[in-house]
Amino acid sequence: MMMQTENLEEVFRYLDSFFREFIPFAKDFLDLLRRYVYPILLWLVEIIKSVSSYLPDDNLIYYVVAGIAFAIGFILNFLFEHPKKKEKSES
Amino acid sequence: MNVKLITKGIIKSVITIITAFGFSQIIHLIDIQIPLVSLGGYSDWVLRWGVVVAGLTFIKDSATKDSWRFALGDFMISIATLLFMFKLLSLEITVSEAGLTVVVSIIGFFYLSLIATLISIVGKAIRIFEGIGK
Repeated sequence: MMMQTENLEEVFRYLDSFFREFIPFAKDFLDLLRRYVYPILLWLVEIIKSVSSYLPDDNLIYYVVAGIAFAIGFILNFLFEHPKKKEKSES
Repeated sequence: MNVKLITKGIIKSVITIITAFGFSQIIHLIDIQIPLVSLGGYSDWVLRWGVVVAGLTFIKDSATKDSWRFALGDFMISIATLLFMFKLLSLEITVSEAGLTVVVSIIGFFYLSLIATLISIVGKAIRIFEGIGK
């Protein structure tokens, strides 16, 4: 299929204007990422590193953690979940 | 107390434990069957992860769907996953043959998993506030 040159020129003109507007924005955005988001991510990785270095090699501790989670689950279920009462049918 | 939800929670956490145990045994078998490859500690950490996640799954599944307890359980599972994922990916796989030892580190995958998990953690934190009152 032949493409009309006029249309093609129009497309290029559109793309040119788009990138002229978009590239300064992209630069700002990348600058924002580099300044604020990247250090926060690195800081998070450092926190995760230090926390995971404290994870012990003893299996018992993980069973205890799971047991505490079970207890919390039971308590939350006891406090908040009540079975729905059956509606009395009209006689 | 809702016995139906507790039963559901127990069933789901037992399934989680069985899955984690199965995976850890498969890794252990690979470690034994292929003497060239050494997967030091992988099977232990998978089992530990499974045990912790099973406990947290009980919190999640013994609650009504879309309530803040459900979202809290989900949130805690994500945080546990983040920690254990780091631990798993920071372990090293050693492949050794006579006179040659290759150590493979896959810690780079952690950055990929970190971004995915952070997005899901933010979503789950929002869900906790959405579920208040349910």
